[in-house]
Amino acid sequence: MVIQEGLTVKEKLHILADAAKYDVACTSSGSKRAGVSGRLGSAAEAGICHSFAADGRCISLLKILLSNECVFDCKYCVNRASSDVPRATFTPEEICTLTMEFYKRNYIEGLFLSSGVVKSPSHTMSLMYETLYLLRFKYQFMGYIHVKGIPGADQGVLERIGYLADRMSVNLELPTSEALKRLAPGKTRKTILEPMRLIRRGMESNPGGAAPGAYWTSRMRWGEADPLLAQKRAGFSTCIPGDGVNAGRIFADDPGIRAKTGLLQENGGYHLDTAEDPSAEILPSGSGFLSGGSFRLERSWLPDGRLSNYVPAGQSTQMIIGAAGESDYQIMAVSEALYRNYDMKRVFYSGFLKTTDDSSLPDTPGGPPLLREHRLYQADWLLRYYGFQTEELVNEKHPNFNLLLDPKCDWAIQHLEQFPVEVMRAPYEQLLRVPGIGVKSAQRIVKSRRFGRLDYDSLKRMGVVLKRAHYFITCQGKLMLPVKIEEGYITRGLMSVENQENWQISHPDQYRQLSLFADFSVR
Amino acid sequence: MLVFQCEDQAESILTGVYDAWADPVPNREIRLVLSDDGQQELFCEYRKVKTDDKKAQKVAESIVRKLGKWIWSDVEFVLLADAADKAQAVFSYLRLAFSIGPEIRQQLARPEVMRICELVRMVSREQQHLFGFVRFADTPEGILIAQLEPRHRQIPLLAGHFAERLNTERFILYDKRRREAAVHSPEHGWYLTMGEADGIEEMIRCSERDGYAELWQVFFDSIAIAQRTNPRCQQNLLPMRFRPHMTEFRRDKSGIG
Repeated sequence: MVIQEGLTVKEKLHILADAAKYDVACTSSGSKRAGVSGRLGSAAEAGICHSFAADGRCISLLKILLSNECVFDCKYCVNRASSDVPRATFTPEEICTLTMEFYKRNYIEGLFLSSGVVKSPSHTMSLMYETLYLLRFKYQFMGYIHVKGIPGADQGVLERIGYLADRMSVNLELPTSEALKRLAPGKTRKTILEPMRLIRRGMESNPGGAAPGAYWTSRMRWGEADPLLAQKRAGFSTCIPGDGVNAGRIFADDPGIRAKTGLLQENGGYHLDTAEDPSAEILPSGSGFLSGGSFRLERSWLPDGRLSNYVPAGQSTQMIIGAAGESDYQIMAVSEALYRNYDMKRVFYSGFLKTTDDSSLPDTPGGPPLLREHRLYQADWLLRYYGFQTEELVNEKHPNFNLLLDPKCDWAIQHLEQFPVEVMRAPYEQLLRVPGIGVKSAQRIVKSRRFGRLDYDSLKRMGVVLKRAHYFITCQGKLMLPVKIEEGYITRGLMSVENQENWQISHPDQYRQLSLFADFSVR
Repeated sequence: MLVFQCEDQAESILTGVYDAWADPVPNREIRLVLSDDGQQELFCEYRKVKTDDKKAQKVAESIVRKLGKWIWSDVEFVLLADAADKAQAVFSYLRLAFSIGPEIRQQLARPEVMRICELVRMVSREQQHLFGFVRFADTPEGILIAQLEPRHRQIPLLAGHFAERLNTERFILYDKRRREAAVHSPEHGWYLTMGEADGIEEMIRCSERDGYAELWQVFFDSIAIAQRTNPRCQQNLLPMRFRPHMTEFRRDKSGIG
């Protein structure tokens, strides 16, 4: 391990931003906080992107590690203990000053603090807590803070830090517990899921309960027949602070996915959510959530003068894709279980890129699997906003996404019996399933069709992508073009639309040759 | 046909709407144009609008009262847009809105409504971009200063946002193209000002020595993953036209400018 003394802030920033770059999430959404006179900062509900790096990823937060020293030796991680990289550690004051000065200049929306494991998970988390405490109370910072939960850290500090942050995330790292055991010897499924569960319970203890993420919001609106939904509805409206019983009911798991895939089970029979109320095991009596105690004091102290909520912007997580040979079905089933049972706001997917020379990992000579990652994000959106379920998109028979077509087009072609739909009459949920119609355009259609007839031109101006949608809709009873509702024909049509896009995603740094036909509509 | 020529100012366009509304000849076709809007046509009677704040105020108030604050907020955005047809777009939209009522906002199939939606979207998209892309630099006197050249008039739409989150700071937001600025101090809040361009441009030169610019550039470079380099995606999300005033893209001299 290369430990360097006497680094300047600039050198540390270089090392610790470089070490933090493999974390995917950089969103600043989910918290809404008006500015308070005399204190710097506010938070915008939808989040704000402040820049875009050379890889096209959004820069919203000052994403840094507190330290890249690490006692763990996860095989995929550039900061693993046995890795030969320069090491650095920020002091809490240095992080606060950087955050405040960057924020004033409108470079950032706030701080995203993660860290390698210094000494022990609990020791690391207390350093992070100290930093956040200084930032909120000494510097009176009101901007956005995302903090990483370190698996295996003491729950006391996890509870405490959640009142200072807007969002917390604990990385799931790998979709199966077998892969985790093989590649991340310092972590187990259990030490990862426990803090996630703790965070969820903390959110449920907020006044009004945990705010539902997009997954449950869209399902609640449709009122579909879902055994968990009724419980969710009850849970969100009746959860009151300190009410462990109510919160416990939401723990009911979805036996479907678990039984079929066994993915979220720890080897050796450890269950994600046991039937009994697990609060006894996770939250010994006397800890903050259930009994008040010293904890409430801390809550009311927050610098905005109001009672603060626990992790108000919810929690997220991320998985590495393509390091351990898992299928898209396994990944999506895990994601859906996380949305259903852990109220995740987001699951992020990180295409595996080999940064260490560990022989147990696959090589990535062509760069990370970008197209596969793209398909997973598309499917993730279909789960959260479009009412799809994993098994409709991938299942045991078709465990992987079609790389040539996006998951929605692929689904539609497999279900031609449901098309074409008439835009003047089709219910909202059905419109959402049409390729080329998104959430916004579906809402616009439903809103405006009450007042008069729509035609293809007005659909286009509402944002419908007709080159995809026209195979699947009729408008006032007419198709836009004389197309055949036939699988091969439509597949060929959609592929010609998508080919170029797919190529671009897999070859991000190359510019493509212009084509007279595709680019200038010469026919 | 009667054509009212308005200045490119909210008050002038709203006065134009008032005058057009008060036209005594029934069923005459009326259009509103911006005065520097190209050639005049045959068989049209042209009339220059004399801006009258009272008339503009009346129009604004009756929009809020009869149509609601959402429609007023749409109109406000369109009045700031950089679009040659905006006076006519506002006029024909309001004519329709006053006869149909607040539910006009949902009737997207009407071309007048769709045009307003498009213009609102253009302005608010740039506003959303600038919430993130505005870059301040610190001057030796401790005043934060940001320069921008937005396509649409954005200073009035941005000032409130920054006044709220940077309420502890003294700052200036300066639109170089229109020589318009918003000036904020913790004691007095913010106000708009025109014609202080020379002093402001001197301050901008002083702000180029801000040391945090270099730290930000170091962060910006370190956070990108080289194997995922994607200039096309970066350019879609962060169009070139914003970059001249963004610290991370100004490597010859640090700061803003």
